[in-house]
Amino acid sequence: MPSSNQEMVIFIVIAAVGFVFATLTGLPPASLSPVALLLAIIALIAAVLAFATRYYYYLYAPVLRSKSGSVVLDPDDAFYMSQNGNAILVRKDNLIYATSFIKVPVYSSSTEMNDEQKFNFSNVFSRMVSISKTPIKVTSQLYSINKDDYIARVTSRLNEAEARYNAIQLDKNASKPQLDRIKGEVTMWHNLLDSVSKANSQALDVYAAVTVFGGTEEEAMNMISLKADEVAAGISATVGVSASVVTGADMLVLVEPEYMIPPTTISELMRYSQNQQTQNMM
Amino acid sequence: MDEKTIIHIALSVLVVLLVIVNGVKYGVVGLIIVVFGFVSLGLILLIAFADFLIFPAFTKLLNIVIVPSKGYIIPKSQDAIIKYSNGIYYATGYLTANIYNYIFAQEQVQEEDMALAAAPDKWEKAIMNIHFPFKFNIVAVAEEVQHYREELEAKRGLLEFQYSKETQGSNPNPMGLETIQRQINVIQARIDRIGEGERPVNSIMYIESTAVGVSQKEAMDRLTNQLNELSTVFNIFDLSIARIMGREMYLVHNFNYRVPSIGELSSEFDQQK
Repeated sequence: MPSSNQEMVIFIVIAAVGFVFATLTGLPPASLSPVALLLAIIALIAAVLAFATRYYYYLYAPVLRSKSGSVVLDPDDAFYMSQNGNAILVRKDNLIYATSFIKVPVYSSSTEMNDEQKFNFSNVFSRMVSISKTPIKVTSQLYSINKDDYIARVTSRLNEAEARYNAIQLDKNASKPQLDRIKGEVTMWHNLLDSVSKANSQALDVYAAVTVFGGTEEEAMNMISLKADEVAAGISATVGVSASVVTGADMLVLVEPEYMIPPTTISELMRYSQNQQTQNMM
Repeated sequence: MDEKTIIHIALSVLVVLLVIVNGVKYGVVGLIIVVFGFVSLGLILLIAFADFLIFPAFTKLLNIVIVPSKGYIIPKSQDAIIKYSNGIYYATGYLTANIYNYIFAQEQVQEEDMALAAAPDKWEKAIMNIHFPFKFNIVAVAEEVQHYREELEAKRGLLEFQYSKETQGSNPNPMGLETIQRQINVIQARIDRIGEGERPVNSIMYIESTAVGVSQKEAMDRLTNQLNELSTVFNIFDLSIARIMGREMYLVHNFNYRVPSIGELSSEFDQQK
């Protein structure tokens, strides 16, 4: 049942209960006024609950089902990836919603623009958000760069250099300049590892998201491919960049918090947050 | 307020009024019924106009935690969405932020141009001062161009008529003429922009940020700090910023996975124009 019909059915049922009890409130004789009070309270609760369906109808069934204080709206994952890796899929009300993300690579900075170019840039951006007849979500996302691979490479080089340094220390024929050179290399990798781990490395991406729905996964996937290509072409023509559809794991950075903040950068963020708190206290 | 909400209010209030009318005849008990009736009316109005206050109070009172999907929880304070993954808590929160001002108010076109020219500088200054992950989101839908253009042309026609009537009068007011002329210029600028290929849009704008912590409380505290910092940084745009809570937070969280339809946008939000 589509959600709007569901909402109306719940509303009509509860409002009808309210009307029935409101009408019954006037029927008991004056001697049975506590009964009238009880009927009135039921009618008033029904009236408030009936109005609340306008915004909270989706909570009613889960609240009735919940046994503890935890109300489960959806026991499944928030989304799943499409087979071709071009979209994320959400199942809702017997429909499949497919969402694709289109990356907009904008590399220009306002420091390189004169006033007219800045004005034109803002205008172009205004046009970008209005290129689709269906709703479009345009996002500017600042996120932490995943440095796991880079740190692993630097650590491996450091271990390699340290092994060579240890080996050369045991070698009685090794010259002092040779020893100093390898020691210098170890120090260099150490410093690099320290700076990479401590530095706050962030990237800014702009992307647009569009959604279509279909009765089956195949239908939704075919439609979203067409829609995403249409929006990418529109953005490319409007902004003058080569917009492309985001695929595979790259999409997770846009929707999942643990991909937006990869594990290696958590310590950086925590350190930054602590510094900020200390500064605020001072 | 949309039609659906008006129907909901009308029928619910009708039930309450019926209870009050039927209850007044019961003396003291009748008085209690009337008081309860007015409390119910107050509750209905609060839900209609300030559910972001009522709903968190309700979930706090009943200690209700909402699970929007597997791995996520909305705590009883209704001000963040928490994910627990690999021993780390990720708290995500939202702020309203209406920057994009396509349908401009009664301001001079020159000022609008200046604001547009200054926007890239302001944006870069804001970004440079932020050292944690965040998203600035615009959910936009283009309006029907022909219909919007006809509306603008009708307004321009009316203003031009007023202008000519004012000039033909025996004692024309220069201040009034200037105001009408400015309004005509604003409308003409909108028509020109549409003629250049730009579409009028309805939009909802919000900022999203995620904080991490080794406990839920730590992540939520950090999130509050980050959102406060974002509010300060984005003040450069002269915005009205408020934390999104309760029902609307759940809705905008879902926008990450599914861009809403036009119907959902218009029925769930008072759109920012």
